Amino acid sequence: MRHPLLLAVVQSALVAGILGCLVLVVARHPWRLDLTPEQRYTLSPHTHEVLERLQEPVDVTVFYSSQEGELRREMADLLARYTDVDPDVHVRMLDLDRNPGAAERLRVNNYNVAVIENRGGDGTRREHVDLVNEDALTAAFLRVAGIPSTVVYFVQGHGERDPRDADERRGAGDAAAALVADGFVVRTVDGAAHIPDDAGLVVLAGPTRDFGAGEVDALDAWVRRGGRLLVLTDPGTPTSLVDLLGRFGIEPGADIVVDEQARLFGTDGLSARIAQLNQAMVPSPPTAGALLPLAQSLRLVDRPGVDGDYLAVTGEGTWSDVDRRALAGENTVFRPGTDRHGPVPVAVLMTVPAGDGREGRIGVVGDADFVSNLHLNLVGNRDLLVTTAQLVARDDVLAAPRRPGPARGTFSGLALTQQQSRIVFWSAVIAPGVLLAATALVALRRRRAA
Amino acid sequence: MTLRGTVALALVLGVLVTYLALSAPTTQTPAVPVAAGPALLAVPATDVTHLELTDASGRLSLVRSPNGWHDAADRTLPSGVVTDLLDALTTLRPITMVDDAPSDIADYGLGADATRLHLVGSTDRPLLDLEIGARNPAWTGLYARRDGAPGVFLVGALLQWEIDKLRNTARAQSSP
Repeated sequence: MRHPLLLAVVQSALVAGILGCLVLVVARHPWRLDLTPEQRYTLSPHTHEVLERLQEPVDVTVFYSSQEGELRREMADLLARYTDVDPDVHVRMLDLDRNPGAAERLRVNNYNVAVIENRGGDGTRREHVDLVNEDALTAAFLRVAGIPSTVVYFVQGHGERDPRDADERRGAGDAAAALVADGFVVRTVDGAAHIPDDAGLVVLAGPTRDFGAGEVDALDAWVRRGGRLLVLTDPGTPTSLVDLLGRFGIEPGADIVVDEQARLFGTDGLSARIAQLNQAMVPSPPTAGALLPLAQSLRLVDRPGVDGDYLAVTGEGTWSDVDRRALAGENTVFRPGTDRHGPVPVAVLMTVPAGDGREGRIGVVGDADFVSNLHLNLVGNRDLLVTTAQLVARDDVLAAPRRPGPARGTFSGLALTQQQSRIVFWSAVIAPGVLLAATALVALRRRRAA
Repeated sequence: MTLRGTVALALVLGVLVTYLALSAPTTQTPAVPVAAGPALLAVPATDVTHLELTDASGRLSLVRSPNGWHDAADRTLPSGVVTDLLDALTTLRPITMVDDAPSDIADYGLGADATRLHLVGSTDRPLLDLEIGARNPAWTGLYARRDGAPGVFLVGALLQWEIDKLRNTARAQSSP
């Protein structure tokens, strides 16, 4: 080579250019490692499941405000996670003020709104998301994917939990929001004598007072015509409801499930943890079991024309306090021959053929407190509600865990078994204490020796 | 390294540049908030002697006299409506430079259908030539351009309020 210096300069420039390009490539395809305990920067398995079901490309157009740079970055970052999972999700970030034409075409008149579009074979389906977060986006993806909404009616008038109520202990507003995020439309109906025609699912969320005979018959007839009913019932189920469930071969145990092995810090042993969901019904169940604050067992008995199975059971170490002594504050100890050993069934799903190829379904959970605003976002409670509602109302179940909402009340989000809590205590308190004492002893001896 | 190695490096660079060019993201650069600059009307409102407002509904020409503001038919307008508009112009500033070189000004409601506000001072000195377009989608401001410059900026929606007030008052004055 005649000009080695020139060649060296050219090669250096090329290497610098390659390095610069590599930096840009890495910047466009960042690799993530989410070390936050609640996996804040990772899409939930539920969102993955929804994205896997998308058949056609989906366009997401976000109209942001140039005045809110932080929010714009958060939205872009969230949507980048969707694109990472499914490259057929195409994202456009548009400044609303700079794109009035696009905003008019997509009927957007506010900042920080996302428009989700699916140009499928049967025309464009479009959804607006006003509050851009994972729940709302995934729900919109579900809707544009063509999965029709199911209208859920919460029956009111018998002491049931109200989906419009934001009260921490009484209300079930968070439960309603969780159902909406899963493509349900939540409404209420006073009494059960007349079920609205558009009802895809009727929920009895913890009634405490009896239903009228006409209401029980109406619910019975509705299920047998192919209707879908979800019953959440605490220990002490009203007699009329026991009668209704009995018609479908379900007997509430009128007991208390005691679970000493899986207790939350600071609670008694009456919070029963669901250890297992029936894998024939839920092939890929959520990993975190739901925690039922005060549950009763359920038993199946034969009824002609009704078929079904247990949906959820508690762990081996649980047992059923048959005469509910625990509620009286007595020291509850398992009594062989009287109380029943676990696993204890706490949820069932029954089906009734309704003719025309249709099928009525009735799902029952032996606890209603777990859908209260206080408890819904504890461990797997939200997943249990939504998965059960889907099993009862739909044929195509999305059972992967959802992103938990913020826990309410004074509960710790940490759920440990007694054995785990012992390990934590020994490793965090006893072991460091012993080490500290030994160090002090050695130091003292050395000083004396000196 | 030989010439062959140099060519290989150039090829690698070419592949990378091509990939980057083809996979360019569609993210739009955010609009730039304008640093607090001068108000739309940089002189005191009292310096304005002639105001001309033109839009699809017609042309309104107002002249200041010792008795107040009057139109071409010599009808006197309540002085408040004009001074309110002029005061607004002395306080309003561009909020955001939306588009330096717009390709389609009709999207902003600018162009032939836009409202035009022309202010003149004594000795026929032009003070402001404002082209006012549509409200932004969120209705927090108006698109506008001034003094023949191509850049579109966003200005507070108060301006539309004051213009509507002036036009409605003038229309009420002229109706029999």
